[in-house]
Amino acid sequence: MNNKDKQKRGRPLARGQTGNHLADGGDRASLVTDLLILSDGTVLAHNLTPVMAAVLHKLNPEDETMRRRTLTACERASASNTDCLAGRPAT
Amino acid sequence: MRCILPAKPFAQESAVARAVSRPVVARERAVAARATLMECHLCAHHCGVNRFAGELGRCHAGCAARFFSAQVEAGDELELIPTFAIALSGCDLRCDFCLTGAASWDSGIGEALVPELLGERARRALADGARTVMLLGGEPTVHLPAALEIVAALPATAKLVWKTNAHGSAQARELLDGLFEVWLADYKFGNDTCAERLAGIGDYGRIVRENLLWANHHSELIVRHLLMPGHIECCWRSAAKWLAAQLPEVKVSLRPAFWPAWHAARHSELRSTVSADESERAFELAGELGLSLIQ
Repeated sequence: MNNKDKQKRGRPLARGQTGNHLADGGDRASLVTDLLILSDGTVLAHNLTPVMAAVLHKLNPEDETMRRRTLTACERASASNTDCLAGRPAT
Repeated sequence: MRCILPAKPFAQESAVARAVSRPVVARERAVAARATLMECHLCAHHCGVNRFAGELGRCHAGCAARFFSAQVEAGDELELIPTFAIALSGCDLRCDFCLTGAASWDSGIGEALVPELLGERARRALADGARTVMLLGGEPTVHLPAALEIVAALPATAKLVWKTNAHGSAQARELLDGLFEVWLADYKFGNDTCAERLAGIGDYGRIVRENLLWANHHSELIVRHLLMPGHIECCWRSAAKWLAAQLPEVKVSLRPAFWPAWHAARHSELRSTVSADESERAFELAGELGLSLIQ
């Protein structure tokens, strides 16, 4: 990772540090989601990770698309991923 | 970076991949695919350059692949997520509105690709609940040897998704045949004029339709269309009508979340997002044509 990447992505997490999402199969510090927030409050997301789906779902629980994505991602998460499961939307 | 020539020349693979171990077939085809880089015809540009000798075709890719993202994602179609998505740098198209323009237009960006390491990360993601492994770009076709090497490093039972711009050549399709359960293919433009103006590509319609028909015959196919502002009639309507007529059963993923990225501002109509009216009209049209929309 070069300096530019470090500045952009912030402090890397320690290996093995727990997160509230489905594991990425690698270094969590490399996870990236791009967001575009429009003036009317609409949020567009690219490279949406499960944890960002959960965050966006919490911001707007009425959004059916994000609710289903969060639910789908969390249903697939391993049983040990309790943070993800705790944040799952109501069915 | 040093490029190693393959030990044996291109040989036509005739075995049906699913009948034998996929990693074995993928490894053999990766060798064959690497040999094609001596006269590259992997995409429909058919540049014919020797990528081992440093010659550059339209994609500007050399013979070593890099990747700019590899992570579990939840933004793709519901039946595919969570997916461990591996994005290879470089592309043969030059879409001005590309969301990943910097990495898609420059195959030198990102990290050096080590198939075994990516395979291990994918295995861990699958063990933790990822439903699929997706290879994308940029455009993975331009790095087909590396893509096949990744497949060789993945479990034979993993559900694999080939996310493509559907601009590959017949040669690339043969090398891919039977290795991916799902082809997630873009149908970006409904006419060649828009394809030429926005992506600098000619003969787009014929090529993409040829690829879509082939993919539908050889694997499960999901066709994705990114709605663009001002292109509902010229692009979406045309693409939708063709899909309804030629691939009426195919799953269609209509994506309304266009954002004006990269060089989109070069085109006045692409300086905004898709309006609610346009989005509604696009989905209505899909309904009128009886398309099988998926989320």
